[in-house]
Amino acid sequence: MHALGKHIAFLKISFFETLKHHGKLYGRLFLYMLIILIISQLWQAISLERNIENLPFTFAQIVWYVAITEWIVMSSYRSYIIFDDDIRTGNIVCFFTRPLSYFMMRHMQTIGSTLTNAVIFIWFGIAVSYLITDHTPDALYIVPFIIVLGLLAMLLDQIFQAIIGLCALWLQESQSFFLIYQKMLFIMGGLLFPLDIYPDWAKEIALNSPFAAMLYKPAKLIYDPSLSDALNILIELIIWCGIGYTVAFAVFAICQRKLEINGG
Amino acid sequence: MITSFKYLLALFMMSLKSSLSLRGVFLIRVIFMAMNNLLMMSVWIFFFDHFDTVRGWDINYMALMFGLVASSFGLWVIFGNGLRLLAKMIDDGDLDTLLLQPKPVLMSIAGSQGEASGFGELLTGIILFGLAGFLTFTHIPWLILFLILGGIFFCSLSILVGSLAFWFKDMNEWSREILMSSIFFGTWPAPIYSGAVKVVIFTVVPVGFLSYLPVEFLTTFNWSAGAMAIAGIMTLFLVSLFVFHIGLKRYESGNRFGVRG
Repeated sequence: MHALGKHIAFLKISFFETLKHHGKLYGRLFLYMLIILIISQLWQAISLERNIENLPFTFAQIVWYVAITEWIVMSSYRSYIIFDDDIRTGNIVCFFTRPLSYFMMRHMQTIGSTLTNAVIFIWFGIAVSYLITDHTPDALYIVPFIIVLGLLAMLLDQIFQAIIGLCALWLQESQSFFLIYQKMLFIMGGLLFPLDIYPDWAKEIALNSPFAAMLYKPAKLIYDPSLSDALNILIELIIWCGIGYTVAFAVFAICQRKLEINGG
Repeated sequence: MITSFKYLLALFMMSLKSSLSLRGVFLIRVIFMAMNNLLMMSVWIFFFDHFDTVRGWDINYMALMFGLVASSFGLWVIFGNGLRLLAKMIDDGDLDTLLLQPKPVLMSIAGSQGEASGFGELLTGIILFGLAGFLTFTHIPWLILFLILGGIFFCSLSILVGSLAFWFKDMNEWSREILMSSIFFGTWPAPIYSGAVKVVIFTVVPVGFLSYLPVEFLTTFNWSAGAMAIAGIMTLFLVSLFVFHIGLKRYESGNRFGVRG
């Protein structure tokens, strides 16, 4: 309990510290707005050129869909950089002498920053999407469920990023891996386009990956609302988080052993 | 001028040697960067498989645009990657040692962090040009020209955004966001842009000069589009140099001792 309190303290500090970095926030908010605008223009162009009635969503729904997937991705803190940097500079060893887990300390810090972004971005996303579509989501009751699933997806993203960052110990760098992970999230997660427009074989592969559970499945609830689906996604995300944490702790244990023997 | 280029080449060779000293990492970076771009392209393959065209653009146009942006970015990563740290260097007062050297400051910064992963980007571009059917004798000279101009575009943008750190604090993240967003915005079917967004892609994030106009030129040989692309990028380059030199007058030293090899 005492250890948990210490880790929560790191989360809180990081939450308020992120609020102070206005420059970063404005930059990302500007980018978030532009992404929603561009994707809405693409779908507007498509809907003007051809009949999109065979698709399971309307123009307004696709704008809300993108606002949700981008909310999850843009709010997520780039935590792999922190782990990568600590390992490459050797700073990680300095933290081993502290009476708390290095991994949990950094992980909580990045969750704190992610939460700050999530709280700000969600209001901004709602405002921009409403201004573009002039519509609220059709089933408002599903929105709180989407928010919970989105937050859990951000947690899973933080776990994956931590694993990628820790890999710097073996590979000297983790950016290339992060970029591949990010692209998998884009493609298999359906960040820009819902998986419904993919060929069946690609959709099938994507649906069985954690990436779809992080983006497509929660965001899809906006045009295909279902409480039972929301519950299934929640269970799926919890399972993926469990698997993620197991891998992350295992990688960190190996990393710690290697550093204690060889030094930082 | 020739001395400056020799200097940039020497910096590049040094970075390349440093990259090659860790051969495994070098190969991982090159392969992963190429994979990274090709993976992103697959989303557009699915998209155009479903919709065929968007305002006259098909998958070949997209491949050409993607190839241009990826290879230009690769060129920048190889020769000008250090410029991404410009805002941080200004914030931390790290320009001191470079200002004392009898070499162009921006060139020293640009060449100081050359990254091997740029070759992966360059490779992707060439693959995509080939797949889109643009690796022909008619197109190759123009592709090389726009590729070099694309590299200059990324250098100019990073100088311009990085130089804002002379006036504002905490610009490092902003500079990274603008650069990353330029790649993002530069890889969407250009004809979809209208209204305020069209203004943005020729001003705030001027990717219109990087991808939209060159693609129009390469596909239709519309000379005015080509000329506008060249003029736009060169103007951006001159403006970025001007802003950097104006900003440099406001630079405050970090007053730190250090040795630079």
